[in-house]
Amino acid sequence: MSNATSGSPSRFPHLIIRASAGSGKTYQLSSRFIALLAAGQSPDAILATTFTRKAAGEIFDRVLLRLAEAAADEKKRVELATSIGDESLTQARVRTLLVETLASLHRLRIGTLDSFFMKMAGSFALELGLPPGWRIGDETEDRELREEAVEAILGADRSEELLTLFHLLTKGEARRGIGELVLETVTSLYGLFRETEPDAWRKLTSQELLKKEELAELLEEMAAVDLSKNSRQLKARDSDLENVRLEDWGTILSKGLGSKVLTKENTFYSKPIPPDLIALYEKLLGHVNAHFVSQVIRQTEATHDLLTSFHQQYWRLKQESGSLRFEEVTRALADAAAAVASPEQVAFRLDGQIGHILLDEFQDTSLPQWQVIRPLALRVMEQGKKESSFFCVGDVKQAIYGWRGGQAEMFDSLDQDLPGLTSQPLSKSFRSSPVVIDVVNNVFRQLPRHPKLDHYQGAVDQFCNDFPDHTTTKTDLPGYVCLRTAPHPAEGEKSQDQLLKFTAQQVAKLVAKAPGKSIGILCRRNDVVARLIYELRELEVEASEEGGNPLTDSAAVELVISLLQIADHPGDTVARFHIASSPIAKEIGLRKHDDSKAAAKLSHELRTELLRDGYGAAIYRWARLLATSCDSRDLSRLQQLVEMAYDYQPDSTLRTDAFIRLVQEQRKSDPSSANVRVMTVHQAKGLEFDAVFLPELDSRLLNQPPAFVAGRDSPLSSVNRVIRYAGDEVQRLLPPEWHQLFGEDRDRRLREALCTLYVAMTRPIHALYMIIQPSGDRQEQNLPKTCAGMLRSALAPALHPPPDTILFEQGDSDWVSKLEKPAPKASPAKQPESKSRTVLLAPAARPTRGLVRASPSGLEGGVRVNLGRLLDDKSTYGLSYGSLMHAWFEAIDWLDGNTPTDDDLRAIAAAVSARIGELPTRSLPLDSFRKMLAGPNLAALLSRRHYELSAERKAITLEALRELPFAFRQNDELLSGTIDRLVLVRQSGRLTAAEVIDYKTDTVTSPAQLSELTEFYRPQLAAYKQAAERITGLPAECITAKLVFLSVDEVVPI
Amino acid sequence: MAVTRRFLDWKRPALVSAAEWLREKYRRKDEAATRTLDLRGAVVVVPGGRAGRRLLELLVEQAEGDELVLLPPVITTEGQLPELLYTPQRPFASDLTQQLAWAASLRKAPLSLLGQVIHHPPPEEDFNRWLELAAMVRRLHTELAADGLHFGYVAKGDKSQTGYHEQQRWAALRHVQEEYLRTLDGLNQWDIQTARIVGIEKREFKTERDVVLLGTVDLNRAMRQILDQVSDRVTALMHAPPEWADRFDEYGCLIPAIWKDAKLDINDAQIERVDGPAEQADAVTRWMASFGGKYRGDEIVVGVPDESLVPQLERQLAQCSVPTRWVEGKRLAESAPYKLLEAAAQFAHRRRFSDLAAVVRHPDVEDWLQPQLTAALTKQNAREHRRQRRAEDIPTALDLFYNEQFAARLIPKRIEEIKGDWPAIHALVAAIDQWLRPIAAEKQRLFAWADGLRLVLKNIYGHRILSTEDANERFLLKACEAIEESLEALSLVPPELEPEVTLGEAIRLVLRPLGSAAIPPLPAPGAVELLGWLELALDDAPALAVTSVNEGFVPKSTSGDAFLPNELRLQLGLLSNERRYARDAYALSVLLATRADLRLIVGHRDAENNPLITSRLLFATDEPSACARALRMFEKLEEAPPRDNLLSTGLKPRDKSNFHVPPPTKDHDPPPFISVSQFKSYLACPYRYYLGHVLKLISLSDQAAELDPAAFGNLLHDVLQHFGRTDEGVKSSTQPDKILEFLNNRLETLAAARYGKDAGRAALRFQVEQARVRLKTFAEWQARQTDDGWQIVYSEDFDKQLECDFPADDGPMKIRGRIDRIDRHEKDGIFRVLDYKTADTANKPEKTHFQSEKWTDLQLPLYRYLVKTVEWQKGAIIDGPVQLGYVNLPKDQASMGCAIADWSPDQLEDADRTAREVIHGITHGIFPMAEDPPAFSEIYAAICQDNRIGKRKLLPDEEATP
Ligand code: SF4
Repeated sequence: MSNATSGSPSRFPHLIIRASAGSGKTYQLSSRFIALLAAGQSPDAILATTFTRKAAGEIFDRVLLRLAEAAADEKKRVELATSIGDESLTQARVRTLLVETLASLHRLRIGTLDSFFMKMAGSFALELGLPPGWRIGDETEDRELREEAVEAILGADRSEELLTLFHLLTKGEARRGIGELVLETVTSLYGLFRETEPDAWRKLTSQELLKKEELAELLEEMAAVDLSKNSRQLKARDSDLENVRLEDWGTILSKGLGSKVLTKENTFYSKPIPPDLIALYEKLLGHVNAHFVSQVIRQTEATHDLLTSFHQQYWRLKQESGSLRFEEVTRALADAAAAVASPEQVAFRLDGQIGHILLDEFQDTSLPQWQVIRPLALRVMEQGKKESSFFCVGDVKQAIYGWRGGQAEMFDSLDQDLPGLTSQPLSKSFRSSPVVIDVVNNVFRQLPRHPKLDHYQGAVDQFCNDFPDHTTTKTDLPGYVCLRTAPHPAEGEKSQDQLLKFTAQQVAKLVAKAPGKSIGILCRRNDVVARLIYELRELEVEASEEGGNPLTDSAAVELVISLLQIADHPGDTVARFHIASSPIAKEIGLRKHDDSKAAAKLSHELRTELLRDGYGAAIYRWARLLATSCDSRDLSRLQQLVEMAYDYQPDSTLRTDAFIRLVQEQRKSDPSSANVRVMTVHQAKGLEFDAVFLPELDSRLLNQPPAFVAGRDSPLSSVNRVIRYAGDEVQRLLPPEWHQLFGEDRDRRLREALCTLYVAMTRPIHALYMIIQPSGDRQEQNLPKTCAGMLRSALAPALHPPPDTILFEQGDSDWVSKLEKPAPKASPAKQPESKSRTVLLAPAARPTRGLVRASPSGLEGGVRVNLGRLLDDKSTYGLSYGSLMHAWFEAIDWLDGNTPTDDDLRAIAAAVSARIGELPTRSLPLDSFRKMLAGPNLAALLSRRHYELSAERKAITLEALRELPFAFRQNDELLSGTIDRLVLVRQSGRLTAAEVIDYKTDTVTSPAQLSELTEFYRPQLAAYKQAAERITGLPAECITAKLVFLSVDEVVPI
Repeated sequence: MAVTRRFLDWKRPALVSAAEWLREKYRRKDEAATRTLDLRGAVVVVPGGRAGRRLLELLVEQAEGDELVLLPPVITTEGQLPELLYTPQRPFASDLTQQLAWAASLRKAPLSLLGQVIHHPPPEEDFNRWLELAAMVRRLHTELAADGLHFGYVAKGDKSQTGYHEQQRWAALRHVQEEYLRTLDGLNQWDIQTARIVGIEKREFKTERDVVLLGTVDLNRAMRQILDQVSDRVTALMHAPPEWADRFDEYGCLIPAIWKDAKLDINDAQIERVDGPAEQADAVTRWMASFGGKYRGDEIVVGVPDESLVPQLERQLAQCSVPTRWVEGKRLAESAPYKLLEAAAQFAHRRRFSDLAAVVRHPDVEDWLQPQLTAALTKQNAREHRRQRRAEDIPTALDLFYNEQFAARLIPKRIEEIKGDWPAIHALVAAIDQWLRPIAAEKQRLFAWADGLRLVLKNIYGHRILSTEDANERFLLKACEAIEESLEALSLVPPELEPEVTLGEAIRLVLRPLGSAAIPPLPAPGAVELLGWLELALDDAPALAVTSVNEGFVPKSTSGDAFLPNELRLQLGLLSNERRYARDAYALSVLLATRADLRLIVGHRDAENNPLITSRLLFATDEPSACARALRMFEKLEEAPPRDNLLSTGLKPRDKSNFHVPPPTKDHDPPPFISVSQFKSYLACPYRYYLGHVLKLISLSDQAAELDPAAFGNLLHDVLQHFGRTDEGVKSSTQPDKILEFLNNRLETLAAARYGKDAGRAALRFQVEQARVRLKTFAEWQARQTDDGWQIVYSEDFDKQLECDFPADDGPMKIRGRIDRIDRHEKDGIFRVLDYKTADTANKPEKTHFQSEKWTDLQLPLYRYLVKTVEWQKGAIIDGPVQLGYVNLPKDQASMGCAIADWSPDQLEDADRTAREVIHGITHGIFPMAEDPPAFSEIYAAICQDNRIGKRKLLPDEEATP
């Protein structure tokens, strides 16, 4: 890296940037990154993290692209120099910097927080107590572990205890499903459980309940109060006395005298309640209060107990399987952050000290994540430390990931946690037209004017107070914003359906007017996305769905699923009927759904095919059968299924259900590069479009409350109190700080809803179309508490919006025609090489590469192999024994010459052992070898005299080639191998005969077996003979071959 | 003496040049006479087996050209060379033995020492985790020892070196290492690395042959020391132009410091950047298509540095009808015997129903089982005759069993404990148990497990005779061989190290080493080969497309490690990022120099959507080109037009697909009777009624983990039925306790009879408890009823349904049903007809029967007819109006009680009219499909195409998480 350190450290202040939507967050981050590189910082000293892998890739590309552009283009260079605050950045330096960076691509630390944590955890696995060989398991695996853990808790023999616990969990109801309930509970609360100390679940205390006698006494006193003058109060009091007997505590609270005393109104139907009765009621209410509160307490504690048991089982299973989740790795790091390793050690194991930290999207950071980063951050911010810096960007207004742990509040208190941070707001948009920005400002300034916010008011006020005025650099951009109603739904149609249809029509109109412009339709729910895609297709608008639907939205895919279902469950007549009445019934061989025999056969065939050919090939074959019946969308979904099946194969099991579930659950967007894209607001984060449609503004502002509410003392501290969610009435009975907790939770959810609206509204470059439902038949009393209601209060506050009407508009509805005509693209049209993707191959001539291999030893027994023999015990022992014998025999030239000594044989044995692995060397079969040599048949065969005799006293010379390797081509095969012993006979120097000898170590017990084995080895010997023919050039009749069965001293001529 | 270095002709592929060089070097004058090209004097060392095989091919071809027979050289790989050059004095310990020796040494280490390495050592009994730990240390040992280093050397690391703090840890590891070596010593065995180090120290390496190094450009230290001892015999062939002499060291290896700055001459047109895996595959076939038939399949190679791309490449090429051959081959873990062992051991170990269900679905097991079970299945079907649930096959028999014995999670060890009369299941479990007897043990020695597992396999596969020429049979054969080898490794563990382990632990030892292994397929002449990156440099196909030319693959790099971070690797001279870069830069140079058609495909994201980064190698060029290329490689990826749909090749897609909801057929006789509860189904959707009640289609699954609403309801119903039929003493008791005692009793008997005591899922036991809670409230309610004067005068008959004629349009229709109970008020003489409802929430009959101005259920109104057939007292039938209602037993105990419908005579007449319409529809075969699928009709969703996009007219109302 360059040695230039032109920038002084002060050029890198510790910075926190509050960046509004479109204000160039990534740009700021990449500027800082480049500035650090330009200042000569080592690439592995700079850590830049974000949340999604996609975003990480974008930052990476952006850093390099900006350098490359600056290297190529003077204007860009000036811009870069300005943005990194280094005017001395000459073209030449940019180029050097770029080339250096390109050579260090592998050292750039730009990635997700998770991947950085994985690396840290990998480097400290043994210190962190993570199971050896741990890895991140997938969702399916984790679900199985959870189920297993739940099963284990339920199975533990503590039925009484557990029953009480469930009784509390179910709030006293005798719910049917228990396993399911427990699984849901532990799944949703496990994260919270891990973040808290046990006492957080036991913080709330309640008043004492009245003792039985005390209650009886109280009732008596109440009954004794003279109410004869006030029949209403009398009746109410008496019914409360009855309620106490029935233990109907809820009614006492919510109705009659009790409710009035509770709210301190102390009058009943405008008549004052006698003070002595009030006092008694207060006592009673205390009892009722204690009843409800203690119930909440017990439920909270019971849940914690359940989570504790679950944790023990779950963690045990995780230790066994080594399958972890990202959160657990993060937690392990957070728990150990300071304790386990010194900063030097971290630097050593991570291959470099981290001197600069750049955090993106800080508002999505969770507390444990911050706990891991914090020590690093503190370190880089240490006083007087040069060459180090902290930088983070985020926007609390875009915090829409609270549901997965993001804790936006931390962002606001970061400057207290890290003194020395400079804060910098960034609210100038580089994206949107002035009209859009204007409306965004207006809406968020005026939200609090909504007349019926009730207890939403506080949070809305705060959000809007903190809302900075947005401006835009794109002052010339034409733009348009409107808020309008959809037409009334037709008879029997739901208004949302009508609205979506209408939206599709509006989009279609815009597409016709503005071809090539990008349009985003942003929804809240995935099924609305799918619905819109359908409506758009009906209007022949090509649209791509982000996220998308499961593939089962195609009838063709459903047929494949039914095949898979039959494979697993041949008795499933639903699937059978589905197939039997489909176009592929005949090819598949199931024509009647009630043919159980055929179904059983089919099931077996399908499973065989899946196991033999793999899911990919099998499903591809089925898909081809279906293809002729498909329209283009079915074909496209089917092709996606085929691609999925190929990818799935490595995970395949003996059951098809796992794959079926995967197909049914995994959402697959229908790929197309259409300009119209439909997606959820969450998916749109970080994206921009020329025009944006918001069709789902009528749903409630707040979604379901959580099952448990948690509180912490400050945004940067752990949760230290937890309570089961309670309804409004019970909330009111709680001590104020607990009551407040519920309020805070509601505020948090409300903020997230407003964030979602903000994100949605800030996606457009030019135009924003917000479509809402007209007011229904019912007389509208007030603006609804929906996004639509909020928008109306800010932009068009009148009640009863009529159907199909523009309620508000600003800018130029004909913005499209004001756009500059885009210059035709100068980039050389990159034509794919070939329009047709048909791959033609030259006809296969005589193959030369990749010949089929054959070796004579593979030919034994022909090409048929008996698996039973293979699986027989000790078969490989036989193999090493055989190798040893062969090696020893290789050492023998002629028996009437020198024979190897025992030491020779030992050395040979050692060499063989080295070559093939283990061997029972402690008892070498030396004796058996010697015995074999003593066998008359073998001894004769290995002696010169034997050949001299058979040569009928002609003068011959003999040569014994041992372990002779050969390789030659035979037809389209390459035959290679080794001949144990090849004896060459020469007469007067001329080769006249040759003999192939092959040693066999098989145990032979009978003559019948001998001939069986001989037959078995015959093809092998034939191949050797052929090789000998080639090598010697002798005609076939001059070559003999002999099989030697060493164990019985049999020599069999072939 | 130094190794001899020779440069090979650089313009042609390395193997071709090398074959020629060998030919020249070993050319003999008397060749013509001996007819042989005799290369027996040479040992040729290549980096991988594949290059060796190809070299042999080239040598044979060359010999044939000269009309000679090749006596081939020894062709070997780097890893196997040393053992050809010396004789180790002891046998080698197998991988498993080594691992067990490491585990034993680690366990022996004092805690204070071990704590330096691992902060939380595994518990004593956790065999698997000790082994994992051992595996990790063994990997370290292997790598360091291959470079001639032991842990002590690392421990002595330079303290002044900035940031080196790990001395103590390595010292602790050294202690363990010494123990490990002692352990092996005691067994008179060695691991290969140690043996080599000893060989080097004792200068034992020698050879009488020539050693020819080909393409071994990155040798580790031990190998160099070995070569030093035989250097007079060694020639290093370098595939490079002579002017690059200074880029190679004296062993012919790359000098990383020089290669760091080497320039690669890549043409921009050779590079293509595309999006994901499927796009990469698409780019490959586009590239192939551009040749228009210039090459044969075997002249084209696709390089696959990222193996996860293989499935998509195989798919893409298959869909383009191009034969392929992935040289690594299919993974052993996908083979039938592997899956068999895995599943069988799983069942033997845990005896879960799900394991049994999996293992019997293995086609090879089914083949073996089915004939044995035919008789038992027939017997069972005979028993099932009445219920029309025939099982011709084992999976169905199991499904039926599971669904009746809800959530039979465990299969009892004693078959007799299987509840109920299930001849086929008994026979099945008996057969499987018999089969798995050899592995039915708690804990035993490894060799015993090996023997047992071998028998298990043999029982299924022992009779098979396989052909090595059939690709599938060969795969099976090879898989069995590999498994057999792995079993053998278990048998060969020295007794001193052989622990007693459970089946689960043993099977892990067998399957682990095989999990990632693959079986190379047969050569397939004419197929396009898919090769790993490391094989490419020595390949010689003229056309090559390299995929995933991305950082992390080409070149690989590491940063950060628990033991050997890159900096430490550099210091120790181990394989480092720098060496990897040099190797890959060299390889790419070779490809650039020798391939006629080379395409480098850069991906933008991988299969998991991780962003990919263009390889550094593509920027190893002069500054202007690097800058220009960076612009191209980091700009926003232009959206490519959608890929062609390869399924539509040669097909004209239809405008409308040809998948229809099958219309009802007319060939069904009108039913002899209609049950009162079926009216509801017809009213909800006549077509789905047709599927369910005319065709009687059922869906099977074995996933339920607890009782579904119907089963839970049945359980409660049955208990209450018993109650209704008890003697007066209980039935008309006003003491809740007495009633409850009876109910509890029944509940227990029934539950035990159905689900067994222990085999069921735990959740089920708790459901029974939930039922008990509801019965308790019921008991109180019931006592009050009696108090109030209500008497139960009738309760459902177990065996017989009530039946009567219903006046329908075309004459009377028989309707059938069960009435749960009828009460009579002793004073007023009013009758009330009651139906038990056990759904989680209580309902009013008015609401369940009538919605959106339409009758949705007719059960209670039709009871008016059935009730007339009831003889509530001897000879007395019920005539005149009756009250109709539910007894709700919901989860909320406060809502327990009676809900009597308040229907006017007109309304009831309207209900009758609706019933007549339904009967008319059913008897005339009128089965139209309701527009929106009713609740609980998911099982017909595929047939009715409910999920088809756009099919569903209404969106569900609930809010989904984003
Ligand atoms: S009488 Fe009761 S316990 Fe016996 S089989 Fe019938 S339902 Fe089951």
